[in-house]
Amino acid sequence: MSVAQIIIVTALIGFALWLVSAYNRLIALRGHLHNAFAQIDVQLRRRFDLIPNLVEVARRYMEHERGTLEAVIAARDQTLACSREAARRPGDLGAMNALSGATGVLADALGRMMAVVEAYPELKADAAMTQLSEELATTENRIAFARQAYNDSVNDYNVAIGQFPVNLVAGLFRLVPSQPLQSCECLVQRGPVRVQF
Amino acid sequence: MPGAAGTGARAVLRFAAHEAQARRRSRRLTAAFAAALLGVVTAVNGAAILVVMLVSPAVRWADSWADLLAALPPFFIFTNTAVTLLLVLGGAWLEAARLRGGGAALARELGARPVSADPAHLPERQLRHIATEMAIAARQPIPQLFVLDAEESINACAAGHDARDAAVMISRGALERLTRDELQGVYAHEYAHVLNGDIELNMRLAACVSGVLIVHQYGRWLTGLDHVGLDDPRARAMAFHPLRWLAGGTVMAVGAIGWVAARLLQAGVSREREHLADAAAVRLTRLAEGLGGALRKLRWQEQELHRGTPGFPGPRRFAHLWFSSTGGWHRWLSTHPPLTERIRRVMGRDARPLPAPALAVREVAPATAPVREPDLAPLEFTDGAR
Repeated sequence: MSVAQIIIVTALIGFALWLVSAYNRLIALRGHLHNAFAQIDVQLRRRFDLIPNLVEVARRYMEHERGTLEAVIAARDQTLACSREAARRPGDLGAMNALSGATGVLADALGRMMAVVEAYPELKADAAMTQLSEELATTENRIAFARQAYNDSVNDYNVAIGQFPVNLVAGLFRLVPSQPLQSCECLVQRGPVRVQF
Repeated sequence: MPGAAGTGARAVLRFAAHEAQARRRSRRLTAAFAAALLGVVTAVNGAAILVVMLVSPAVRWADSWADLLAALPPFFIFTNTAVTLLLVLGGAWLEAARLRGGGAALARELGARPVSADPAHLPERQLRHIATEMAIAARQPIPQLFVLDAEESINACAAGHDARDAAVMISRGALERLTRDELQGVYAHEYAHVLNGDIELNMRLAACVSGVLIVHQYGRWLTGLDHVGLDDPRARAMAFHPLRWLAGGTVMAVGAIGWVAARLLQAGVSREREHLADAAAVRLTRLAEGLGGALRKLRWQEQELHRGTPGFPGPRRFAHLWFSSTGGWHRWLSTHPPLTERIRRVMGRDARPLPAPALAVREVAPATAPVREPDLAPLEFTDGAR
């Protein structure tokens, strides 16, 4: 083998190694991203399971605020549907936007409900309500922090696949940028939701 | 709201930079410890020579240093140095061995009680929740949690060797006097120490400090200041025997240089870390008012509750571990930056102290509607999946 051949072979091997490592890095980043999304999903489900309990306790004290409670349940069911869709396609633009919107509506409805709770001292003092409020507070925080962690990993991933020359590898394997979660952009149509008490 | 800020929490998550920084700091700690060691050895030798001067005229009237050294008993300096080194290094080694048990072992030594997995007491429940929230924000494991039941003031501390065996201790006073947001701020500060790798350095610092302090403590032990059973007249007579005072006082005076060195070690290594942990706590919680409120309550506590007495539980060698360990000490000997400065940096403005009465103690009664874990199906609510 001539010197030129050795150089070419070495360069080819080097290129192949770089390709593999770049691809693996992108896949690892995408794994982080999916993992981060799963974390949000766990916390969202925690909230979905919490809300019926909360509404149940609140209902005993605030029969007159039926509209507020119904809004919470409607938003909950809508968000649940969106999160199932998003869990199937994490990073997908439409699904992420729909979930962001639904989550925003739910947060608003819950916020209104907790504001109304302030007007009912007996309800606020209720032991079950105290516990549920705390559970809700921690769940909201966890969702917020999990969203942040998810957005951070989306950012890491998007930066990685956008940088030259890794973007060529990303293009070769059809790796597309992911969509971070926006805060409260309501893109979701809210259909009629049946509520049972 | 947390969703807004872009890259904040990531600064906490990047460990490579912190590791380099931690290495630099531990080199500085080693150098400072060597200097302190030299100081103690010199002081012990100096004091021993003074004692010999009192007894031996040959040493007292020596014309030059060379004559003085020649007049000393054989191996005099060598023996003094060896004994001192043995004491200091042995003390440091003993303490290091004791701390090898990690954060949980230290927590138990300080009399802390582990927080149960599902506490009925609301503040403890909040603490457990907060720990989970912060772990999600930082994407790191949850440390073991402890409550210091005996401590009525607001305080907290993190200890351990790495993120896996770390323990965070919160005083009962902090649980009773802080709101949820403030407790989150204090916890995030301690958790930031864990994430920044400060706790390992702090454990070694505690070992070094207890080594350097050993001569001073031996003198204190000799005087009997620490172990007087004042009820028993005979013990009191023994304790206040003038010879004991003389011997103990001398040794304490010799050890004073070690005491000052220990304070300088703690101050030099840990003070700047407090500002960094404050900043990291705000980035983690995305809420300056939480930690800010806690610091303002600390300031109130400093002014109202204990004037002058050191505001931290446990022995002095752990002073630098605490969230707050302010006493009436001189500024550059303090392990922590002044509270006013911390408040200004955290909140971006000066803020008055915030009164911190104990909040109403809330218990979580057995819930009538139990909280379901995520995998259970919701009740009779419409399932939006269709």
